[in-house]
Parts: sequence; structure tokens; C-alpha cells
Amino acid sequence: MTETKQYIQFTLGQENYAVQISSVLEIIKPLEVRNLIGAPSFVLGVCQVRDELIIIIDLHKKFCISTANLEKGEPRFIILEFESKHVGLYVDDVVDIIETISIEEVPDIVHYGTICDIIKLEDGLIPILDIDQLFPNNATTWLNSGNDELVS
Amino acid sequence: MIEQYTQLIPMIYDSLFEKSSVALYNHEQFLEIKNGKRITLPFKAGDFLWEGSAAYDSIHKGVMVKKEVAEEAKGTAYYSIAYPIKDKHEIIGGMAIAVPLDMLNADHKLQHMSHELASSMEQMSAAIQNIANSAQLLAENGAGVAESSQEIHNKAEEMEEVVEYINSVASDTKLLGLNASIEAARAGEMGRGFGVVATEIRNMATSSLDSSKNISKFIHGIRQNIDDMTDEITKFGDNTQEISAALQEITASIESLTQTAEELEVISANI
Repeated sequence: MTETKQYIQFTLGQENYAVQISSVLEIIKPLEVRNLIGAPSFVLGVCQVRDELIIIIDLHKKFCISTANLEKGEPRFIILEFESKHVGLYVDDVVDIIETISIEEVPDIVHYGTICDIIKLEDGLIPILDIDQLFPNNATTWLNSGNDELVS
Repeated sequence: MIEQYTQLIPMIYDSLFEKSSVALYNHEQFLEIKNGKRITLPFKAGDFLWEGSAAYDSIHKGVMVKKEVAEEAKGTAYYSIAYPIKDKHEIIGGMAIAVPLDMLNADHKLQHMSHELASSMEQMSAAIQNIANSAQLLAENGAGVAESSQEIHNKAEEMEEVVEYINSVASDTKLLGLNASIEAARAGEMGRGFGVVATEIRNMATSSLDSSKNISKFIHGIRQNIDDMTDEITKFGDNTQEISAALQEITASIESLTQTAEELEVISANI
């Protein structure tokens, strides 16, 4: 029997998504974000969480998600642990923690690497973001490059 | 001798506006009668004087006699005045006029009616004044209600602030529960017990959030109702103002009517 796993359920625009709880460090209220010149557009900026600088990623920009007509949620930063670095994810609301065994892999044909699995709930499907695949190439390059290399 | 007085009859007749009757008589009978337009005497020239009539009494008493003749007795109610005519201290006859009673009463009646009219007008004026006072009171009460509803509106606003605070506490508690669950998950098997507590905290926070959102909705509804009420009260106040204005116009009209009635009363008293 498959082990019950926990996921953090959150919203981006009107849609629900989830991340594995094991990759989450903490959830905080949005802090003041310092814009970074030269960063990709989906990098909201940098903020300071308990003396630690954390890059905040805005997936709305990356995936063109509209925030119009949103019911009043509570925007949060989900701090993720990614390759032993900490990255903040800007979300429109953190809904709850899901405990489930009902998980299926995404069919290969639409597999782009951003979504690893899908949680099947009675009232809908919730895609699970693949943290390892979420910030490939340009973002990680940018994050790890310590120089002034411009990334499109 | 008495016949010479016949020539006075037309003069007296005309001086009474041709409305009253004039009669000339000697000791025994009526010599000539000229009936007025408003009264026809129930006897004619040649008829004998009868005991109890003004003419008869004037001859026998030798003084002016006034008598009211009731309607039942001789057809038309009239008032007769009979003067004896003397020639060298000897009564030779007399002359009488008969005035219809309703003509005598007309001025009295007019005076009475105009007096009634004036007093009715006064009563009406007083009644209108009462209504005007009530309307004024109504307007003041309306203003009081409007003030109260504004207070309720403010209180609802304060309540919303309190609920907002509860909402933010519940929201913080939910965040705390989420982070506790994350910590429990990271602690693995060791954090299982703590995870249960964290879940409970989250559930409590979620139900608090739901409740405070419901309360918010109720308060919003109440404020909506109060706003509607305030609108109604304002309209009500406007209507009361209109009533007041209309009453003032009526009062002005009545005042001028009252004045007319009073003038009428003065005129009728002087007729």
C-alpha cells in the first residue's frame, strides 16, 4: 500500500496547485520585495527573511496567469528548499494541507516537466509542481551565475 | 276727514320699498289697503276692524300699537304697526303698515350666519394649526430617527473593525498551523503527534475564518438595510416639508376668508 503523502495546496489565479510538503521550508506573509535589475521578468525580486536573502519567484508572470476577478484570498510566500538553496514562491492563497494516497503521474504526452503528478480529489484535480523542474535553465543559471550575465 | 289721509298711502308705500302693505281705517272699517309685493293682507277695504287687531287697539287705546301676527292665523306671518290719527285730540281713524316677519328677521339672520361663519373659520384655523404642529413634530421625529440610524451605521462600522481583527487573528493562526504542520512533516515519525495538534489548530483557524466571514456578510447586510432606511427617512422628511408648505398656504387662505367673514359680520350688524 502506498504511503500517505502531504501536500501544500495553494492557488495561482483561479487554479489550484500543490507542492510536496517535504520541499517546503515555511509559509510567510508577503514582505517588502526589492526589485532586481536584469533579472528575468518572473523574478519578483529579493526580500530578507530572518537575515537570509531569498529570491521571490512570480509564476503568474512565467505562465501568464491572470489575477483579475480574484476573490479576496490571502497572498503568501511559500519558501521552498531547492538544491539546498531557498526560493520563495508568490501565491494568491494557501488553501490547506492535503493528505492523500490518490496520486497519478501526468500522461507523458503533455509532460513538460513542470508538473510531476496529479492529486485526484472528489471535487477536482490538483497538479503538483515539480520543484526540481520548475526553475530550469535561465532561472537557475541566473541564480547561480554570480556575474552580470543577462538572461532573456 | 280721514279720507284726506289716503293721499299719504303711496308715499308711505314707496318709502317701504313697495314690499310692505299699508292700510287706512276709520273707527269701524278699513278704508283703503295697498298690498306690498311681499305680503297680501288677509282682509280688504270695507272689512270691519276686529277686536284684538293692531288697528282696533290703536283706535281704542289711542296709542301706537305693535303686533306680531303668526303665520297660522292669517296665511302670511307679519308684523303690524298701527298709529291712531287724531284731529284736535279726537281720534278719527288710523293708519297701519304690515311688514313680513322674514324681512324683519333677514338682517338678524345675516348677522347670525356671518358670526357662525367667522367662528367656523376660527375653528378651522385652529385645526389646521394643530395639523401643522403635528407635521412639525413628525419632521423632528424623522430627524431623530435619521440620527439614530446614522449611529447604528457607525456602530456597524465599529463591529466590522472588530470582525476584521478576529479575521486577521484567525488568518495568523492558520499560517501558524500550516507552518507547524510543515515542521511536523520535516520531523518525520518524531513529529507525528505534533502534526495532529497542528492539524487541529489549522481546522480551528479555518472555521474561525469562515465564521468571521459570515459575520462580515451579516454586518454588510445590516449596513445596507440601514442605508435604505436612511433614504426612506429622508424622503419622509421631504414629504413632511411639502405638507407643511401646503398647510401654510391653506392657513393663508383661511386667514383671508376669516377676515372676509369678520367684515361681513360688521356689515350685517350695521344694516
